[in-house]
Amino acid sequence: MARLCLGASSALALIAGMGLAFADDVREGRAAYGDWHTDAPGVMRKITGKDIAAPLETPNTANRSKVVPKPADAELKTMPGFKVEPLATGLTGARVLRVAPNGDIFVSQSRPDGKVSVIRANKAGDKAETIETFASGLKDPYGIAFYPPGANPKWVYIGMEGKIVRYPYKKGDMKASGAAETIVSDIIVGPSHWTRDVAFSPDGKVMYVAVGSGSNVATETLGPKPEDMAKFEKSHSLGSAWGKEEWRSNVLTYTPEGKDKKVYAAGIRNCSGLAVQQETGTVFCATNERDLLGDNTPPDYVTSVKKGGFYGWPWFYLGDHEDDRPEGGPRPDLKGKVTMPDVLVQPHSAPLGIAFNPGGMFPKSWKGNAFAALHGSWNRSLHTGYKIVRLPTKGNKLTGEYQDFVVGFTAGDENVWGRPVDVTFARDGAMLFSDDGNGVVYRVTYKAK
Amino acid sequence: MKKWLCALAFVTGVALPIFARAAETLESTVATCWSCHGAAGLPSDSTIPIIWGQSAAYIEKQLRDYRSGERSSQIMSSMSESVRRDDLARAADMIAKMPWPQSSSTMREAAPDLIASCQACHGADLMGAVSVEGVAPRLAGQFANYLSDQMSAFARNERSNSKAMTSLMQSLSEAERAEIAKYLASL
Ligand code: HEC
Ligand code: HEC
Repeated sequence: MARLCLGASSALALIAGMGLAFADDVREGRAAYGDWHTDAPGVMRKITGKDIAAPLETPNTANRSKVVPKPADAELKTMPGFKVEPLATGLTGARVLRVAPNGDIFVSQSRPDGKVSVIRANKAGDKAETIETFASGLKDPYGIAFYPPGANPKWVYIGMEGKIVRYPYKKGDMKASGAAETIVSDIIVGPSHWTRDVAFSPDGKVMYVAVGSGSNVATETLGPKPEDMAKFEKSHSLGSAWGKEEWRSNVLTYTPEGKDKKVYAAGIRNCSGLAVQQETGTVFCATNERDLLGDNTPPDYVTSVKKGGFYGWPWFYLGDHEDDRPEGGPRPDLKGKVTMPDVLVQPHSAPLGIAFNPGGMFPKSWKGNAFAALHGSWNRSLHTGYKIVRLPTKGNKLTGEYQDFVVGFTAGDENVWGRPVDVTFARDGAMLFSDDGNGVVYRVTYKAK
Repeated sequence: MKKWLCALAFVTGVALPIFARAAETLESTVATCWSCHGAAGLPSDSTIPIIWGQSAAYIEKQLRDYRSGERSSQIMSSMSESVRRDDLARAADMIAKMPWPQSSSTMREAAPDLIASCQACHGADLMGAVSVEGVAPRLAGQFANYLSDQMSAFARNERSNSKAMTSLMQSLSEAERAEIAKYLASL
């Protein structure tokens, strides 16, 4: 029976392989799952809480991709009217992208270089003209944020594994003009998730910092429970973890001066991409869910984040799906208190960065839509992810669907020639995305036919 | 009929209860390791260590360290959790009993002077030994890339599960570490 079903899925693969998906190719539920064979620009996917496969429905499998140089015959595919081209190359380990008000493109090159570079494009905006090192010698620089918000930021904040620092900045600086000032020094260093994204509220009053968990599912990192759980949750937030996981799997808030640390939301295993919607001030996370539960469990997600919300990690995932692996046993007291994320993304896709389309180039109806970069899977048998997806919005809210937008980084079942990390938009409305596999920043443009 | 049901499952997204929870044995769990560490013990990628034939006590300690966060790696932190706590020693033993893959290197590099200081703990033949600082792993024939990565990780204290190795690696320059790694890989 299982084999027959595989047959059905490869029939789907064949259809998708014929090129662009049909405009009405909406795949819902388990049909929305697939792998790189069934990716095609335009395919719309919708996964809901009832589509989640049971744990270990398929065995836990590892298939880490090998990054190779772009094969001669490989080509990225996108939707009609769009064009994808490299803007800058040679940016080893390119991760987070943020555009300064003057149009300069900041990119963190977390590993192995530990630096932040600035790309200035030519007039046409389609090629890097100069690339400078803004700051170097940093340990795992990741998030980048300009402060204060608006046309004249005075600082560039950089999120690193253990701290948030800021450099003085004035319009046009391509090299930091002064030394880094440490704003937050108490962020956990150590096991597992090391990315620290940082963003400000539109009014500049709140600094959001995302800190992922210190393990897959806290099998040995919790230790003894807090004696007074009610008190602990009051000083942290509903569903916060403790021990080596304290202040992790969180979105934290601080003042821009790094004071007044608070948990904004808990149970978010790894919010590797943090974005603030400018119209509403809502915080969004792109999150990687847990490993080792098989090819199809559990979905990753992109979501608006509720203040005080608990998103499940480590005891639950995506609503009331219980996980029995965390040290110290289950937390039945949290059942029914797990906030369901907005958009479920195929398990193991690894969404890392998100950005909202400010408008100016892409189709008008896409203004305000979110885009996410899927870094790609290692914990499933066939690769999935390795693409850029569009997440439609309606009235500033994500609809729950997502659409394959740029695909084609896979080269066979083992190799890939790119791993998308972050998305952002240039001043002219073109989309930029980074690839830390081959160190490229790509630009996606649109011309209405 | 069955075919039709399957098609239905894919088209409508109805999840059919067709898969049983996969039976897991320690053997099948350990078999998932080979997709990275190599089906014949030779990893396809030189940033992934050879573990076949490594010391059992060392493998077990590393698995425990990844689980508890004493040693950091996103992938291994997850993968180490796939082995049940009570099975860790047995898994390590199974891996240690597999043969270390044959070296592909044809030429032995010249031994750097500094290597004598490593032999004190890692064994005269650098095949691993029980040292004053605990079990020191086999280094001979390991990938140069991986060894360099780990030596830098110790030096930067990103790998913090051996204080002795951290202070020793901090006393060496990057070039010295690279030279040693190259030599070790050629053994
Ligand atoms: C997806 C790829 C992948 C899989 C699957 C995987 N490993 Fe690893 N393993 C790695 C990488 C990468 C490292 C190096 C990590 C680091 O920098 O600490 C590593 C390191 C190790 C080490 C440390 C070796 C040393 O010399 O210090 C041990 C032991 C190990 N793995 C055991 C296992 C076992 C047991 C499994 C299966 C349960 C497994 N690995 C599955 C990628 C993998
Ligand atoms: C005082 C004892 C001692 C000395 C001297 C020493 N080591 Fe080590 N080394 C250890 C121990 C113990 C470990 C295992 C640490 C752990 O438990 O993770 C280790 C681990 C390592 C590893 C990690 C291997 C792996 O598979 O991940 C490398 C590489 C290494 N040593 C290189 C060296 C080199 C090169 C030298 C000489 C310049 C050296 N060591 C000298 C004790 C020592």
